[in-house]
Amino acid sequence: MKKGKVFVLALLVMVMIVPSLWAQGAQEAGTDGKVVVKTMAYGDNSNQEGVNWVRIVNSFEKENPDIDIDYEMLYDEAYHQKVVARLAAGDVPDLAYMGADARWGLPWKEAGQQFDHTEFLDPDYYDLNLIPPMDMNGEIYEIPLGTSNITTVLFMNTRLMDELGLSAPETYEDMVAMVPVARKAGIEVLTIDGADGWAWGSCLMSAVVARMSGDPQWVSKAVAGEYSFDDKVMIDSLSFLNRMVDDGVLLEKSVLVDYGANVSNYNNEKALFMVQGQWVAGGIENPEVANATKMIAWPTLPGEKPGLEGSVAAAIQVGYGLTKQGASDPEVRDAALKFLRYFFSHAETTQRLRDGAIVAPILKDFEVPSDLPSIVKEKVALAQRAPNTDVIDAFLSGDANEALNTGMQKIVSGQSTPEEVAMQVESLVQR
Amino acid sequence: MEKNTSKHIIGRTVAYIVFISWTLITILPIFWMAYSSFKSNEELTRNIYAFPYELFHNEDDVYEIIAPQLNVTPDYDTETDTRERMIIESTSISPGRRLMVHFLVKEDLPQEILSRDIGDTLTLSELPKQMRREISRKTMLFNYTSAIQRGGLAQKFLNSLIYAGVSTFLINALSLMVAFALSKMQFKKLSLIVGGLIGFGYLLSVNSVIIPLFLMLSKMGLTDTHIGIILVYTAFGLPLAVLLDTQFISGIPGSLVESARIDGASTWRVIVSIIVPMAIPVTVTVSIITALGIWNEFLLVLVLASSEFTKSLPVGVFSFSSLTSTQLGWQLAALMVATAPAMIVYFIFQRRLTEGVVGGAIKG
Repeated sequence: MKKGKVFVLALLVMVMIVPSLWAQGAQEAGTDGKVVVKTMAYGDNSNQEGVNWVRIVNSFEKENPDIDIDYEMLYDEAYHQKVVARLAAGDVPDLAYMGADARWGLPWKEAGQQFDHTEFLDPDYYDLNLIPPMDMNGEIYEIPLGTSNITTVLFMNTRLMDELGLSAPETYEDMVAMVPVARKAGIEVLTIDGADGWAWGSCLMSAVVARMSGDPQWVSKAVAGEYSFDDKVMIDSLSFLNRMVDDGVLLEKSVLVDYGANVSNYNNEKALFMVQGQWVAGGIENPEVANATKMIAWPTLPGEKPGLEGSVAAAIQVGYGLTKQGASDPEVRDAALKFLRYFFSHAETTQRLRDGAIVAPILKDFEVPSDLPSIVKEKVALAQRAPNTDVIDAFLSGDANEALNTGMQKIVSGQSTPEEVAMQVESLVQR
Repeated sequence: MEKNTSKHIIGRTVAYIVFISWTLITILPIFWMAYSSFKSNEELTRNIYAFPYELFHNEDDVYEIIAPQLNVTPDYDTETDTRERMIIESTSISPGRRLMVHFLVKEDLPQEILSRDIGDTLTLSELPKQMRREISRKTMLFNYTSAIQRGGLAQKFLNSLIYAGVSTFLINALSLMVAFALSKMQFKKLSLIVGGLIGFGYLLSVNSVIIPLFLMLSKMGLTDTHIGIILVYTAFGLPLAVLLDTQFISGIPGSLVESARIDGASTWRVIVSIIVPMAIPVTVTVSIITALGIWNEFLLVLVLASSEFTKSLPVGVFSFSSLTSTQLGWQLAALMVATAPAMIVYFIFQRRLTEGVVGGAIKG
């Protein structure tokens, strides 16, 4: 009898569990008859991107019960690694967060999964003049979240500056002159997340090398072979890091500061300036600091060639795009495009603008709300006034980019020279 | 005699110091985690060791009246409940992030509050008693409700149960059968080779095979399925289980198996009626090691599971922390949800587990 009971119990458990074991992802019961759009989303449960994604998907599915957005949401390196793994395994999503450059677009390009959206984008809805061509024949592989993504921003705390009797720097020497004043007040001039290799390349060197060369496309031309990464321009640009450390503008220990600590330093008024990209604007949580922040381009640098004063490095912003596989099934393609239209609705785009996630929308006849937070207005103003230059990791990828990023960390911490780093990068560039 | 007594005292003192220290090292982090899961993110950032205060002492919390926005998600069914609402957001807990938001039914509010505009503030104590009590309760449980709802922890909890339960069952069943064959059947040379191969499997690290494993499962259509993940867990758990079971079963007198054979028992009958009941101590040991390992496992499930339907608790815990933002309070609450079942199982079956571990360790 006892054995019989155990047997019945075991049978019940098996009956309950076994069907779910074979169910794949969200294609379990409940998605029958629905068009499933397999999606790779970017974000997590703690950041605005992730929270908004979940909200948008939920409300879209509620309004479109015949469509299931079956997403996997990952963030940062976990996302990049999973993209590579899924593409290698042939487990290609239909829709994904992607870009068109070396960092965000390369895996999709190498897997032959980039899909040209041009003929599917309604020119009355999207402002096609604001979506730049992403390949030689003007292809559009993704719908960017916004217009150009400025990566080399100096966030300046005007309240601290005023308190210390300082004014916005016009030249690098002005920043050097701030060092003793800031030190006396127990703070630093500059905070940068030097522990993140990409920050050196994307948020600092991209601006420096353009200014030193006087050529806004110096990086892309170097990758194409027109210039060399061990040219004097690059060595001078890398040497500028040494100079910043020697002048006290940049601390050696910057290489220990990660992204969160960098933003926290700025939020807690431990530095006059923060080096980062435009996307951080929405992450400055201290309202007093956010309201007192001015977003500026780097001041005139020593050795800078004329013509690019006040320039910032900017890349095509990442966004969401269909893959070739997703587009191959008309039903999935139409469902994904419908979702994208919802995702890029005027209301959602306004919210994204308000949250500080984008610089400016790519929608036609978009009316910018007059009550935007001051830091968002700052961002729009910077985008309107600053000329754009190349972002390094939009063109340089793989080992060469890695060598440059870690090389800059080594230069700042005194373990390597600019010449060594420049030579190593040049030896690793694949042309 | 006196020398022996002083030696005894020193011995006991050292032993107590070691045991008490070990107990503190084990218990204090759990204690810290438990009380910190009731602290707001701001409190945790300010002082990581202080006891919770803000979420409990919330009667004077100040809220700002905000306008409806897309990123302010109603916590009620907007289709069935069409009553007008006033939206308020905490100025002390995640201010401006639209995370600590309440939707007050306007018809229940006093005129004095209704007359306030967007951007104005109010304190909790100004609200009607019922509303105050409700918001106060929500504030206290803020981390837990946020973690469970936003992290989808209910589904992940169920998945963790399925992975740990089914994999542990399969590991035990299969390892006992393999161990019986290796230790009691007459294939000494073959047993040596098979045992060696299985032992080699124990040396494989998850990290070194994760990508080929993912590719293989993808080809078989088993990624993002419960069964795929269970099979992988079972494969990784088997080597240690087989080693422990083999060691234990080889200690069971061969005469018992022979007697059963003489009585006409088949191999299956011998395993079910003699080996399984006698191997309960080692089975308990294997179950604890395996189930706890799978319950806490992160990397495999992160890579092999793509959708919310197949992810397990550790992935849910991880999702509250990223490069750009960390919700420490939510993460600690999620950790408590993930840790509590293991602790409850341990407290309930403490004696049985200890007996099992000791039996598994000694009797083999």
